[in-house]
Amino acid sequence: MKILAHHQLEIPASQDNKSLKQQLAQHLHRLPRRVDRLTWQCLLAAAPLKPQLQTRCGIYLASHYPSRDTMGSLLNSVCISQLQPKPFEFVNSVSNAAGFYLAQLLELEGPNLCLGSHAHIWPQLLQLAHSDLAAGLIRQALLINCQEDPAGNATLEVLLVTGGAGCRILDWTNLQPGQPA
Amino acid sequence: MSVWLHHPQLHSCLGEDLASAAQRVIAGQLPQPDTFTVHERDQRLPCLSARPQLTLEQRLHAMLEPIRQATGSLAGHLLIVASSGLDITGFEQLTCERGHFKAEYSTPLHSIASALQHDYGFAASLTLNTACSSAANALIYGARLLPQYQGVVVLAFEPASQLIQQGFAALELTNESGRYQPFHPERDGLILGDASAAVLLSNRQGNSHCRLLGGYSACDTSSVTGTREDGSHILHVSRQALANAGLTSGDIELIKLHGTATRANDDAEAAGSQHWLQQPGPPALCVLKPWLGHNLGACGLTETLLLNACLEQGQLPVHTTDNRQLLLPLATRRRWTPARTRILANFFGFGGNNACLVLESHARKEQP
Repeated sequence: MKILAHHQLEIPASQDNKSLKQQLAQHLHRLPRRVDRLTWQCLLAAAPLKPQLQTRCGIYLASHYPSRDTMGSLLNSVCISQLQPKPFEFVNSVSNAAGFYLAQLLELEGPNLCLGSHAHIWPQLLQLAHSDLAAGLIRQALLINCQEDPAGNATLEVLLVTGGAGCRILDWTNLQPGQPA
Repeated sequence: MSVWLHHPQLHSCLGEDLASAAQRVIAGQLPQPDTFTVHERDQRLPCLSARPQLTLEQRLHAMLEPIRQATGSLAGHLLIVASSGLDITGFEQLTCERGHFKAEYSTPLHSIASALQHDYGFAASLTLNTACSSAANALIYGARLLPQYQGVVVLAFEPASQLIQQGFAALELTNESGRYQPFHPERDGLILGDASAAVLLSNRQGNSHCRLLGGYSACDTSSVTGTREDGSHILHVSRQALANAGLTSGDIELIKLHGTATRANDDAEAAGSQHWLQQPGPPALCVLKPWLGHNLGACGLTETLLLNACLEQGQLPVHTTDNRQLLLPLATRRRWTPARTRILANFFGFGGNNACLVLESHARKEQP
């Protein structure tokens, strides 16, 4: 596996979705409608890599939480107000919706995996991506880890790697979050 | 890839274990739906509840404990938790008790897997959340990660959630008639079913009768809620899965269809399946959802285990005796004689996730 790009993006809780959307418009001509905060965050983190991305690329997205504002809205609507959920909110509550919009807008056709993030997620993300690269199923792997603190401040770590059939896995000990590759 | 499935566990609307579920399918005893009320419509719709009713914690331990007892220890093993709803029912209860839900009540997506890793002493754990393809992806990636562990345990479950029931009703994908009829011209949508399942993946055959030969999963970007109407992405994924297993079209004897009984999904799957029907000696076709309901994130494992339990006994899951009107000619005879069956199994989900497994099932030499 070879690293093509590696960066980290901080998104404070105070930055609203409208602002994320405006920032994203600098990278993408087409923007999605009615998507949740996790999707905006991931798009903003990955969009700068668009010129480097190839179609045969898998997405390996880990997140601590689903989009918590969407989940709160759905639960209050269904459990307290006894209302039906808004269809787009319900569909967005599926965590892999963020990966779907990444694939659609960045024109990626590989696997789209969404995982629960935790302290040891990076070696696992690399293992999963390596299994597809080494089998020759994809040419690139886009790895994103979205961490959010209790106040809603998010840190997104992004790694784009490549590798052909039989490639060796990256050594995680030489690749720590926030450090240049 | 050649990975054997051991110690299969299933808790579903067909009963508390896999053996009794398979007996009900073989006897042709379709489950009787319960109902839930749709908000704002005052309408009751069918659902299939797991029996006996257990708490989520009881259900997960009921799945894992037999595997721990059979293996002696799960140290050195990887746990993969596959679910769409995860601990959503806990949040629903909390919201009802407190009268509101706040973001700070959330627990991480990985919290169930993390707790089970601690309780059972697994070496590591993963949570896969890819909608209705979650468990299929867990099997594919569990098999690929197996060389790094003594074994991999896949635990798949879907809770009976208000949010999920109301959400599918809002999308008008849920069934009103109570008759689950995939590919039927009068089909009227899916019936949700809650269920749990678990299995141990191992390189050793032991007394297993089922192995995973390969699989593939990819994202169809045409729509967040459905796949391409012409079935082209479904066909693409199934061809890649076959290639991954080192097989060709002619090697497949049975296709387990996803068959949600929704208009769009069945139309797309029927279109994507025409290729197989044009093969000389085309494969038989079957569906499992009339028996289990749609188990969403768990269906990749629940359906795989129930299908294999039937095939081991020389039986196909058959829910209809008349396939003349169907979009696809589902099997109508239960008797299934091959000693070895190679299967293509389809699982599709929201978020464009299409996954396909290639399985091999072996009949038991002594059949009841």
